[in-house]
Amino acid sequence: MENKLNYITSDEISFYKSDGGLLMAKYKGEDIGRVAVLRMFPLQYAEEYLCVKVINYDRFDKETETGIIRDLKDFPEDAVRLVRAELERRYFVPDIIKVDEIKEQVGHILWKVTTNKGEREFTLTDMSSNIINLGGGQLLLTDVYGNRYRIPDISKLDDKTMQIIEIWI
Amino acid sequence: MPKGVDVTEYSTVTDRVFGGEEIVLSAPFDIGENGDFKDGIFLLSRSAMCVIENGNVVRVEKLSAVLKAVCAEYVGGGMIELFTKTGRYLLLRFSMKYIEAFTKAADIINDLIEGSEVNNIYEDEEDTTLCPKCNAPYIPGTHVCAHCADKKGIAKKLWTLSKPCRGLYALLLLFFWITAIGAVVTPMLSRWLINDVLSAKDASFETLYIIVGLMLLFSVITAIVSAMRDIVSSRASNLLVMDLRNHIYEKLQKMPLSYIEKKKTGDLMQRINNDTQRIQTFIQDIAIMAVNEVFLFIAIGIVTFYLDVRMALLIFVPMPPALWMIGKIRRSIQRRYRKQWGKLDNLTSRLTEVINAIKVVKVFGREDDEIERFSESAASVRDLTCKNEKFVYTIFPIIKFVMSFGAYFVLLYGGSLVLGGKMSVGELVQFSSYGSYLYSKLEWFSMLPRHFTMAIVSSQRVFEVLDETEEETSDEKINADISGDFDFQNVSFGYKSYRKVLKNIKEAVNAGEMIGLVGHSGAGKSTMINLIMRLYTPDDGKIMLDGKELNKYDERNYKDILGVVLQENYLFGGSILDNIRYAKPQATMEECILAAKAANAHDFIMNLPDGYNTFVGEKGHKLSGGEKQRIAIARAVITNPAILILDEATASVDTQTEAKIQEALSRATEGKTIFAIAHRLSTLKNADRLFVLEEGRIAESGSHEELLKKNGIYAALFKAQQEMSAMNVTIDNSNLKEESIQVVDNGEEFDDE
Ligand SMILES: Nc1ncnc2c1ncn2[C@@H]1O[C@H](COP(=O)(O)OP(=O)(O)OP(=O)(O)O)[C@@H](O)[C@H]1O
Ligand SMILES: [Mg+2]
Repeated sequence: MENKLNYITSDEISFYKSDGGLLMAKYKGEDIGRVAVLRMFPLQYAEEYLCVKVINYDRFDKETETGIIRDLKDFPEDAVRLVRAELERRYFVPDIIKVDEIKEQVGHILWKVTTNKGEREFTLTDMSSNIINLGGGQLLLTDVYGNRYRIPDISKLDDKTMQIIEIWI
Repeated sequence: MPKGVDVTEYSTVTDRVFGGEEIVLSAPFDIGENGDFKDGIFLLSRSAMCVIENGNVVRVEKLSAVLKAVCAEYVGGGMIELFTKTGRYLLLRFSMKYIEAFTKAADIINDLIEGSEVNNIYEDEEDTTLCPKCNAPYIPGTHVCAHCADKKGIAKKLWTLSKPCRGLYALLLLFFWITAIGAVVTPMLSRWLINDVLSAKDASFETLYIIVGLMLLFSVITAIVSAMRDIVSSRASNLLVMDLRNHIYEKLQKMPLSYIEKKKTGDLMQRINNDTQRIQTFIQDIAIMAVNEVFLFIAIGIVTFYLDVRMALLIFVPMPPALWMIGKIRRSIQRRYRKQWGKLDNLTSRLTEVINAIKVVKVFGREDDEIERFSESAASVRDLTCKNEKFVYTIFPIIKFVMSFGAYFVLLYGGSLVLGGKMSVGELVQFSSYGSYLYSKLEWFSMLPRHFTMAIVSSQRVFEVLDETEEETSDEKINADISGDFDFQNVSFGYKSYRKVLKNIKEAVNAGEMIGLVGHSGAGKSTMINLIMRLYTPDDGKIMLDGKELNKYDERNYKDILGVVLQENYLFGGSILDNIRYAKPQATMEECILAAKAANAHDFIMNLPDGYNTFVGEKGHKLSGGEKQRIAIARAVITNPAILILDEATASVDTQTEAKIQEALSRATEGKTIFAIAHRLSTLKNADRLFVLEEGRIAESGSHEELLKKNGIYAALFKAQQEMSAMNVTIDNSNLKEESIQVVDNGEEFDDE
């Protein structure tokens, strides 16, 4: 077993955007092309423990891991910006700001919410298994399609929203 | 036909962008480039594509400039990435709702680029979760929408189902009627008693006896009939439920595996157990009672309106608001309890998990943590229960109050009539008894819509299984001697339609050949075998057996010549003997022993005190992994199958035993077509040909020697394994120090002599 992780330092890697708006990188002076940045603990750390991988759409088993970003805050500002944009695409989990209505229908529950990405309606089936308590007031909801929504801190929701969701959560 | 949106709405755009060219695909999407929700539309013609967000064209791409399109699946959504001559572009983003549509769209774009015929335009609705008619989600786990469900159809089916118990139901209805008559008549008797006996000046003892006697008679009859009603009712229920359960169970056995795998085991068990139960409760307790109560309402209505219209109005007018209120309170109580049950459920499943894995818990020394975790969960259940109970105990008196609503009006108004001499005391008592009776039923009535919905949902879930067409069988079922020539013609398959596991498999296999399937874990080896076993059917392409399509063979005919040892071996509760002859119940003892010997299982079986009668399975004797595998091999070879499938059949036995099994198997399997999977490549050395699977394709094929010479993937894998085993040998040697010392000693003695 290797006993050290390959952490990438900010001077080893530089990120840039392709013309088409995709994340690319140079690593140790070499252009490694299109890279993916993945969260290793997506439910725990948003900007720590990020895995940088060279994407190969033809052969997934040939994708190589470049290394690990221990903490994004140690990186220069534009790298942070680019990586954040990439993370936002890979982990599309809107934050629920306000719940406008919860309607019970036959066999499922319809949620009308306002998120940081705009208004949205979605349906949950089994409330007990599709709402996960991540601790610290954080809730993760998964709808019928597998889309996810997050309530960042349940105690910070407004009173009306609390009233609506109280009996469900 | 292109699926999805109506494109006429975009005709100005399409004219401009596509110049009137036919749109081959239109699909909605919902996320803009910056990550906000958008109303988007993607349009594709044979030469261009166009992305529209909130009505504005945001991107137009000529197909001639595109090299490739890739659909990437991420968390909570995905995107289409375009490779063009100048670079890589993000074309559009979408949530998981549209993942299938855009996987298909990317395929179509690539087909168009390659110039191949576009014929697979997305119209497959198999995995959608929304009703196309009203856009509401289907009942979970089904493709049935509760709103659009054919309610008459359901009633008809239920009626058909109740056939065996109709006589009993008629009897039940009669019993209900008798008790109902009691409910109408008793207040009449009360009035009579009060008016003609208690408050009459010249009352005779005779009338008193008659009235009290009648009252006694009615209550005795009611008691007897109620008891009989319950007995009949439980009889009827068991009849119906058993019938229904048998139907579903039988049906499930005949369903294709792909259907069953799509449902969760728990979901299917629920259909067999709970849903049938609910249907039964509904028919017998709710439906019959409802018929009865409605009649009773009408009867009491007629009686009261006949007696005094104003009094009757006083009873009936406050009823709807009271009903509404009770219904509302009920629902909120229920919601609370559902939450509580959910928590309790979690607690139970955690408990089951821990008890099943008690070994792991103990080995890792986590007992204390588990205790703590459990008591935390238990505490949260307790808190919630207390809270709910408090709520219910405050709310119930309110319900009681609402239910006595009408009675107060009746007393107030009726009392004033009595005081004014316009009504007798007896009449007032009669009215107020009717009032209380009707109001006491309100709670039950308020639950009625819910019961109906639940019954509809349950029936749908049950009927969906019952109505499902059984395995696709063509009209002509081939029954023939099978020699075992396989031909894979461009076979593609995926468990989910948007993720292909096997891609364009093209190979022919001759009867009597032994084929080894190798490849990385997850490469698709077991999947290929699943197709051969006909557990699934290819999405594209055909598997031919002896020149005819595999699926056209009669199920029995094919399975009879198939011997299978799977990666996960399952032994049924029963004796070893039962398990060996599972596929051939009429096998003689000799045949079983020979099969066990071929599988090299005989010796270990003979070491068990109960020999072939040893009870195995969940509750029986615990066999080792290798022992189970050998029994599974015996089970596979006993039918002397023409086609043998071995998925890691010897993975859990040591190399020596494996060699023995191999030797026995090769004797038993001469002339048979064999598909064998093994990670230990040395196992497959004898195979006539090896197929090396990689990423769902056959990357290399040939004999062991040929592939080694080729120096490709297989050669690398083989070398790596050899090095590994060489390493193991060194480790073994270091463990054998004592022995080596002895050898040295011996040597010295030799020297001395
Ligand atoms: N029932 C299933 N439903 C959905 N996906 C499945 C199912 N069975 C297998 N898969 C997926 O299909 C792919 C191929 O699986 P398969 O079982 O064929 O691999 P394999 O080559 O037999 O691997 P192994 O050597 O580990 O047994 C894997 O990615 C797996 O996750
Ligand atoms: Mg496998």
